[in-house]
Amino acid sequence: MSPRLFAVWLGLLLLLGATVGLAHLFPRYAWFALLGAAAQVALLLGGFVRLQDHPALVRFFALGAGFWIVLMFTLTLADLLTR
Amino acid sequence: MEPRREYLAEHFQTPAQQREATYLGIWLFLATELMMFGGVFLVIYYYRVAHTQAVAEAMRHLHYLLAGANSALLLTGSLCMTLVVEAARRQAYTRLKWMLAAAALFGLAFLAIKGFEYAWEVREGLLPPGSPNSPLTEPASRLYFNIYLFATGLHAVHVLIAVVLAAGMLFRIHTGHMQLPERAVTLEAVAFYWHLVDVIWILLYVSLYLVGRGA
Repeated sequence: MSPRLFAVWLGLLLLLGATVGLAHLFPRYAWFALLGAAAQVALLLGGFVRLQDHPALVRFFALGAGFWIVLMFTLTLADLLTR
Repeated sequence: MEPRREYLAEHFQTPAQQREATYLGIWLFLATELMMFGGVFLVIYYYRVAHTQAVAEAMRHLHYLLAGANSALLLTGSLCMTLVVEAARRQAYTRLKWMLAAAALFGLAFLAIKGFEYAWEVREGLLPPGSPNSPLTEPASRLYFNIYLFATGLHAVHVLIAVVLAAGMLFRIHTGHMQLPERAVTLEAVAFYWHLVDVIWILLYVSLYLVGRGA
């Protein structure tokens, strides 16, 4: 196994441990676990999937899916969060 | 005319063109999967904002350490799938088969632990969501378990598909029905699917089990 892949895997497990530890020790700040999850997703897409090596059109599709989710969340939750 | 040395479908002119079309196709499919789970995430967060206390009560009954261990299993399965792709590129086929088997086993272990977790929740009266023995008093807390069951169940189906794909490819490679390196791009497509299932679980785990515990 290449050291890079091992480092990515170890990083993913450490981030997982950090998010679980945060939610366990400081439940009031468990919202920050979302940042840990976002870092895990970025590490997985960059380290295992190598999204950066794919053609621009493929990255555009990945970005499009992310844009769809952001649009859906902001427009729907805007009602509840601004009451 | 020079004979074709790589597997090339009739409607493609070059292997590079075929590979790019395959990547684009699998990414398009993965984008639709993200959109589907996006709706599930939206429901989870809408519910959380609308019923903060009830969701926090329900979350305190979830076995988040067990689910955390499951996350580690799925991440290790993802590593195995990356090693499958690496082995295919290096034409190390024995190693490739071992890694495929390991990935399938990690996926199966994930499903076994998930099944154990469901059984535990059934024993506690948390599942099915309308159980009369439920320790949850708020109707909204019980409904949160409905969302939890749907979201994790849908994800478990995806893990099962990933396991079947890995085991199926292992069988086909072993019996010589899937030629390598010609069909290596198929392995890459399945690895992408596995990583997507992993990405969804990372977000589901945090959203269902961790965020909002202290409300």
